Amino acid sequence: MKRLLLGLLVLCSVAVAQTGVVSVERSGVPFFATIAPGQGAIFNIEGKNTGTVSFTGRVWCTIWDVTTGTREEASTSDVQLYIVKDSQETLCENEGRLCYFPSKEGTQLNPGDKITGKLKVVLGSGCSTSKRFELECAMDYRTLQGVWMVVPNSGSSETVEVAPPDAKTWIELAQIVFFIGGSGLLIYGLTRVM
Amino acid sequence: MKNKEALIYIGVGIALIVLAIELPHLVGLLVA
Repeated sequence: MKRLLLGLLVLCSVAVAQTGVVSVERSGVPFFATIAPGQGAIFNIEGKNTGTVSFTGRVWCTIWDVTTGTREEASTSDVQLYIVKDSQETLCENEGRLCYFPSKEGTQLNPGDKITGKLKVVLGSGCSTSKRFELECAMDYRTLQGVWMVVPNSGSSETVEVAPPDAKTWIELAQIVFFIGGSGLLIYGLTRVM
Repeated sequence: MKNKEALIYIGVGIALIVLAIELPHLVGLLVA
């Protein structure tokens, strides 16, 4: 009976150690929500762990073509990923489209430890048509046998609109006109109330 | 009455700012 309870305890500990949460969020106010080819967006990567495991977060991009409904992993002509650390940008491993957090080799994490990072995504010339762009993130851990495993429930994604250059021009212009006009009306209304 | 008019200006102003922020999403939805 004692051995059974001990076995259950070990199993539960392993199960708890394997749970984690990873989130991907675009930072900043989405004033210009679209990104044109050649431009970049900064994403915040956050993960936490509840057990002692060797941890590495992997980040990559998928391109979702809204016109055809196809979804595929982004190529280097679509995107390039950079890790931003102390305002320095470093191109990621695997041809610049797969990033590892906190390091490629993996780092030992204790219960309650958090991992954070900034990722810059620069769109390549391959994204010249209107597409939706999805950044997916998952938490990996390394077993004693050295096998990489994905932490359950660690997947997370953020979607960004990719606009063609010509469309972006008039969208930006309309945004500026609406924003200035709206601000003017708001200020005028407020001064009349005062 | 004067306050009502001012509130309309404020409301339209806020609506335009929100529209400016959400315009790319709306365009994306229309294109899709």
